[in-house]
Amino acid sequence: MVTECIYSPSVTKDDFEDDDFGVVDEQEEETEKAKETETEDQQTPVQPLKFTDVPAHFRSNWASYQVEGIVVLIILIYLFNYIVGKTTNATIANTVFEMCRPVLEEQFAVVGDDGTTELEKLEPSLRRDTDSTFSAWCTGRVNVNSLFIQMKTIKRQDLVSRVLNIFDPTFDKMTIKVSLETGNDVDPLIFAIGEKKVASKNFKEMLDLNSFVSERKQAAQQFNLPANWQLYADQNEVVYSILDPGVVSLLKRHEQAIEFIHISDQFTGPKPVDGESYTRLPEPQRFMFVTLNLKQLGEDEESVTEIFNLVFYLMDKVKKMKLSKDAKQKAERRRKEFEDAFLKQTHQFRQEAAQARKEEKTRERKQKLMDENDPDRQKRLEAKELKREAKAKQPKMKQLKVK
Amino acid sequence: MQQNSDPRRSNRIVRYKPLDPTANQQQAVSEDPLPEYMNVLGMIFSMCGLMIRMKWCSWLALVCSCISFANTRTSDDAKQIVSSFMLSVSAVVMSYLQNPSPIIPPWVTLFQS
Repeated sequence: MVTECIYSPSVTKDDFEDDDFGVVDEQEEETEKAKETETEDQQTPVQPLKFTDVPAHFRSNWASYQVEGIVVLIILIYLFNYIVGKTTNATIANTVFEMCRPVLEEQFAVVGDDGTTELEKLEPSLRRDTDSTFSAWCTGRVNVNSLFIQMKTIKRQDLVSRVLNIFDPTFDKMTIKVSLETGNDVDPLIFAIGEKKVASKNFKEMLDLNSFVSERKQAAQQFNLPANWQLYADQNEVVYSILDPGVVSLLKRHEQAIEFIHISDQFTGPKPVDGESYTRLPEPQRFMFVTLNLKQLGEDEESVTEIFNLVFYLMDKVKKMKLSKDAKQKAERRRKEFEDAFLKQTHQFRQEAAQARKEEKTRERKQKLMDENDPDRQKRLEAKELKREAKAKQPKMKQLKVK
Repeated sequence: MQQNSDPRRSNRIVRYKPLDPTANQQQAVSEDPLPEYMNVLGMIFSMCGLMIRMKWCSWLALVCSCISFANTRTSDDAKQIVSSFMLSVSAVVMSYLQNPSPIIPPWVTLFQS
């Protein structure tokens, strides 16, 4: 009915009032709205549409991923170099080992021990420690506990190391570490010979070389050793015993391949770093070290055989070497002096350590006393403790023998 | 220097004992610290890539992981290398999931200027 009132033209205004029915004049509304929009338009200008920057999908836009492509390419090149470098290192090491194997098998009962496989089933083989380090353990020979061959090649598998090697070149090396047999009939000796750079570095770093030996320039000239070599020994007699004509001729012939030879009965490793010192002197051991240039060594099998025969000859010679009485006494006196000097230097440290141990024991005893629940036992322990303290407080008297 | 007698003695065999990796760790690190540096750098770059959303950091972390892998010292380092790789790959993936747009090459800005 209300609808009819609004839309029917026959209804007069006099019969009903607009306010009764909430009638709103549409024409008036439209004109008001038009006026409002006109004012709004005058105040704010029309803003253009903005398109959000959505990146195109990778598959349709791969050309713009240039930096990513370059990085992936670098990684692929690095991995390719890794495979090639690793293979090259393994080839070099295995080739040289195959050259050494016959002579090692002649000298040792076990070649290439890994420590776990049964000896009967063991095959002579090179062990791969890392992608650039290979080793072989040989044992079962007279005069020798073991011979450990370690081959350290350049890190060809790492591109960064290859680039750094251009600025600071290093070479493929083989280190032979021989653990010599000890015994009461074996004379003391410390001897080192080799290329100047390597020899002087070892002289500064190794505790035994730094403490006992001096450079023997005169002897080196006498033997007509290569000019870029240095000779160290604790005594001249050791030099003349070891460097016989055969040894000297082999050393000169393989001058390029042999970097350093170090024989010692007082080997304790490198010197402690500045500021640090041993509280107790490490047990000296009898070792022989031979450092060889792998590239020069692997040139032909004959060189390998000759150099290894030289090593075995030196191993046997050192065992049989007999110094004169004076030389032997001098060597033993020097070792005793070194030990005494070390003990004197560390006396204070050892005293402090002993004091700390004593205090720790006292503290433990007192703690035990406090923790004891049984009163009788506690009284007994307390009495014991008081007696001990009284004894400690008494002045220490030395007994003098009256003759 | 010829030796006629056989020097081999099967009763004087001393079996090989591999060096304890933990005991020699310090010495090995001082001789060649590159794997440790690359490990630490890889972790730092991965964190930067994940948290600060820098894509080039994530890629560098991946490169550092590769270098660390190539310089592995012992087989015990395998877990560390794998975790380093996983972290750097996750940094790369997360960076691109959040923002798939490519890295703006420096030569583009140079040409524009």
